[in-house]
Amino acid sequence: MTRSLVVELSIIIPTFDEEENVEPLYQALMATVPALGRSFEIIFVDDGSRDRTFERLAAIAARDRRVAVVKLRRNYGQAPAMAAGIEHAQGEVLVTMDADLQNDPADIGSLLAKLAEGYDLVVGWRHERQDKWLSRRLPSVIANWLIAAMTGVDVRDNGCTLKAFRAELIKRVPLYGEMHRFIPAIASTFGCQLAEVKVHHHPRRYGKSKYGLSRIYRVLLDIVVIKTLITFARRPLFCFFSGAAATLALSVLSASLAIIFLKQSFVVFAAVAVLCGSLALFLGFAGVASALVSQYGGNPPVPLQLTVDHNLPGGAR
Amino acid sequence: MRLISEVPPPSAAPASQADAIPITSVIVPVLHDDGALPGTHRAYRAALEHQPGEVEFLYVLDRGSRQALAGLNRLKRAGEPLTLIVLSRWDGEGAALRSAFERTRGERILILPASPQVDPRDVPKVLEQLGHADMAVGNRLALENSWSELVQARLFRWLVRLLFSRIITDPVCRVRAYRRHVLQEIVGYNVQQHFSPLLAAERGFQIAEVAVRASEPPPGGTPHQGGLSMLLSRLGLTLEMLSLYVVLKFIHKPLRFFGTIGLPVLLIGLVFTGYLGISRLFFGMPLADRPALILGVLLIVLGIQVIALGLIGEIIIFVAGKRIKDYTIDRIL
Repeated sequence: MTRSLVVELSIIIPTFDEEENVEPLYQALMATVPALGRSFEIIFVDDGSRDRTFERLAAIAARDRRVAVVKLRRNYGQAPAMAAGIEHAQGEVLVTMDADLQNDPADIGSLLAKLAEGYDLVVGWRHERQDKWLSRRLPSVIANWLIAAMTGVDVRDNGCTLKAFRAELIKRVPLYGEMHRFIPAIASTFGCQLAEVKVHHHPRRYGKSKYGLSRIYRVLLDIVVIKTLITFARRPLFCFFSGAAATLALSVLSASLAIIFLKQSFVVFAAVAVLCGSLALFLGFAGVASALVSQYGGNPPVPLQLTVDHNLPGGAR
Repeated sequence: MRLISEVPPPSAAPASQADAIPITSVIVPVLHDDGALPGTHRAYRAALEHQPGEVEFLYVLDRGSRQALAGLNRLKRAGEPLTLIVLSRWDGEGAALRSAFERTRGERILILPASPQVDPRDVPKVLEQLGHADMAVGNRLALENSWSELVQARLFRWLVRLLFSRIITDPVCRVRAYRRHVLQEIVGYNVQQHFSPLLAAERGFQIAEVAVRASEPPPGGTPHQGGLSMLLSRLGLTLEMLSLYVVLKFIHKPLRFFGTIGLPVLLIGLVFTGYLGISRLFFGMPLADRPALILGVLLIVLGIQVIALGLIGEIIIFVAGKRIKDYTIDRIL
C-alpha cells in the first residue's frame, strides 16, 4: 500500500456483489463524513464478488485517494472480509458498516461522539427495523435475547454491522468464521467498555439479500462456542468445570444406586457410574488442556493495556 | 539433516520484471531409482526448446538413487546445465519440491515426472495455460484399462466434485505448471502433490486442465501394479483427500466438524436413555436387567466427548488468533 499517513478514522465496508449500491454508498459517505472534521479513509473489501463490484470500486479508488480497495481472491464471508479491512486500516478509530445502504452514514457521527465519551466499542442499535416481521425481526429478537442471556453481554442488536471501535482493541480481537455477530462478546474477553447508540435503518434498495434461514443452526453452534470462549477467558482451567462436576455427581449417584440395588442390577449401574466418571475425568483434562493452550498460545484473552494518557479522537480526554 | 550437493549457490531474488528474461524452472522429483533419466531429460529439453527465455532443470534425488545420480552426472559432465539436489533422506514429493523450489529462479515453474507419463511434446501445452490461469495440470485421456478401474476412477471423481465442487480428472498426472507466487503459497502445506490443484483452488487461484496424451510405455513394459495394491493406494489417496477436505473446510470452525458427529450421537443417546427411563418410570419395566441403559449412557458420553473436543479446537483457534489468516488477498488499490 502506498498510503502511509495515519488517519483518525477508517471506515471499513465488506462488499459482496453490490455493484448497484457501491456508487450511491460512496456519495452518501462523501455527503456526511468530511463534515465530521477528521482525517479519514474508506476501505472497501471486495469479498470475491462475481459481478462488476470490483470495477466500480476501482473506479472510485482512482478518483479519490482516501478510498482503498482490498480484493480477496474468492468469497470468504463477512468476518474474514472485515478482518482484512481491519488489518489494513490505519486509523485510530475504526467503523464497520454494510455495503447495501441499509446503514446510514449520517450515524457515524453519533457513534464517534459516544466513543469520545470514553468507550472502547460502540454498537449501533436499529431501533426501527425496516424488515419483514416474521422472517427477519422475530428471529432477530429471539437471537439477540439468546445471545445476551448466554454471553452476559447485553447488546440489543447483534446483527447491526454499524459499529465503531478503538483500533488497538479491535486489532487484537480474532475475527474469523462468522464471529462478526459476536464482536462485542469476544471483545469483552479482552476487557472493554461497551455502549449502544440508536441508528437509522433503511430498507434494502438494490440487489438481493444474501442471508437465509439456514444460518440459524450455525448461529446456535456459534453461541455455544462463544459461551465456551467467554468462560474460558475468565478461568481457563475451569471452563469445563461445570460439566465435569455434574457428570461426577451423576457418577456418584449411579454408584450409590449400584450398591443399594446390589443384588439385582449392580452391573448396569456400576457400568453407568464408570462411564460418567470417565466423562468427568475427560472434561477435567479438557480444562487442563485449555489452560495449557491459554498459557502457550499466541493471543490469550488477557486484558489489554490501554495507554493511560489516551488522546481520544475529538480532543476529549 | 539434508545433505545437499552439486547445487550452485542460491541466486539472488528471482528475475524481476526489469530483467525481461523470462525463466522457466523445471523441477523433476526422482521418486524411484531410474537408469533411463538421461533419455527422459533429453526428451523434455527438446520439448521445451521453444520456450521464451531460459529453461533451467532441477532434479531432486534421494541419496540412494545411484543409477539416476550416475546418469545425471554423466549428463553434467557432457555439459548439460542441470541442478542436482541430493537429499540424505526422502521425505516425500512435497518435501522434495520444497527444497527444489528454494533454488528456482523462474516465474513459471513446471513439475515433471522422472518416468514419463505424458508425451513430452504435449508438455508445452500445459505451460501455455499459465497465460490466463494461475496453475495448470495435465489430464491424460482415456487411461482406464479395465472395467473396475473405470468404476474406481468415476467414484473418485464424484467424490472430489462432491467435496470440492470441482474435478481433477487425472490426479495421478504429475505434469503441473505453476506461477511462482502460487507455488510459493502452497509449497508449505504437507499434502500429497496430487491435491495441490485443490489446495490452490481453495486459496482462490484459477486452475486449468489441459488434455494431454499419455506417453508410450517404455520398452519392456511398465511394471504392472497388482490390482489389490492399486486399490489400496487409491484408498490411501481417498483418505488423504478426505482429511484435506476436513482440514481446509473446518480449520476455522472445529465445532462444526465435531458437532456434526457428536451432536447426532448425543441426541440418539438422549432419546434412547429417555425412552428407557420413561419405560421404567411409567410402565414399570425394570431397568435392572437391561444392559441397554449402558448403551444409552455410552452414546451420551461419547457424544459429549466429541463435542468437547470440538470446543477445545475452537479454543485453540481462538487463542492462536491472528496467526491464522482466513483470507487471501488478490490486490490492494
